[in-house]
Amino acid sequence: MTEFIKKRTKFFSKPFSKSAVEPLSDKELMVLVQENDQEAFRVLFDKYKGPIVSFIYNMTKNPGISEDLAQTSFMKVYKSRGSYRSEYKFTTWLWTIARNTTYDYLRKKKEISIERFRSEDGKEFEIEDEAMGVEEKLVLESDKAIVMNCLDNMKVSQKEALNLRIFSEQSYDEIAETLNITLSATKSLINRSKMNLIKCVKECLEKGEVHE
Amino acid sequence: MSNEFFNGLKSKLSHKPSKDFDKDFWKGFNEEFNEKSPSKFWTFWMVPASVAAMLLMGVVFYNSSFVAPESVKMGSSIEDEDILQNMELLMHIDDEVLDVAHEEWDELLEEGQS
Repeated sequence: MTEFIKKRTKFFSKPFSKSAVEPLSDKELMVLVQENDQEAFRVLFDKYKGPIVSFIYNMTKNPGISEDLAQTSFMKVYKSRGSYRSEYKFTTWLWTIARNTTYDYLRKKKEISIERFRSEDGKEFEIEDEAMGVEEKLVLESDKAIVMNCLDNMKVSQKEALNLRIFSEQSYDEIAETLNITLSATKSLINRSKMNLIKCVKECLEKGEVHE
Repeated sequence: MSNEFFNGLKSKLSHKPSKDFDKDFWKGFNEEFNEKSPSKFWTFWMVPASVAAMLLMGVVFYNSSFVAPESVKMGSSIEDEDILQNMELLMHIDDEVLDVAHEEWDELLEEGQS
């Protein structure tokens, strides 16, 4: 807390300098945002706009819509700043807002069913320690269009979990919290998504499919 | 490592926002959360001028509410005088020449007015 007060004092010594607020953590910045500090909000916006747009783009496949939904998400973050509780991680709150905004859009477009995240059966997967195998390398070296097409053909729940793992930089615990499912189900879901992605890319390459 | 795999996917699948993304967002943000404050010109000149104009109109209206009855009064007193004169004439005619023919009325009226 003392450290925060020091940083904050430094911030107020240069109230309009963006660099003065950058050393603060996300939580500390959110405390300032809750006091209507728009400069602190700008720092958070600059930090997360890229991952949020990428996440939404991979869910909607539409550049314009993904930017609109990302902007809507950030507007919601500022509008509902009063409801943020500092005991929760900022990113969990942010990704929950972005995810709900995306789902609202997809639901209106009737592109998703309501089923979503009924807990996935299956045991925990310790995938963090796995070495990157030949198949994984194959996915990374293959054409972007093939990977995107494979992601697009996944179940929405798998696609979303994988996108969160890729773009949100959240831990599995945090992703579980964002998705509102258990840690075990989260790991299972992400692992299954990864396996499906690998399988799909391999099949496409074997068939020699070319995607736009 | 698996992290490497996901980081690789991140590089492959990242979608950069367009160059207008920031501008569009902050424009909308400012419209929503930063209401434009009135300009100095408006604050220091137009507001006092408007108030002064309103006061002036109020004063003019207040005064006119007293002036108007005065003129009405003046006008009506003149009209009343005419009516009284006509009444006197009619009474004179009534008293003195009751049996006059219609043709004679004009003459009598002209006489009375002269």
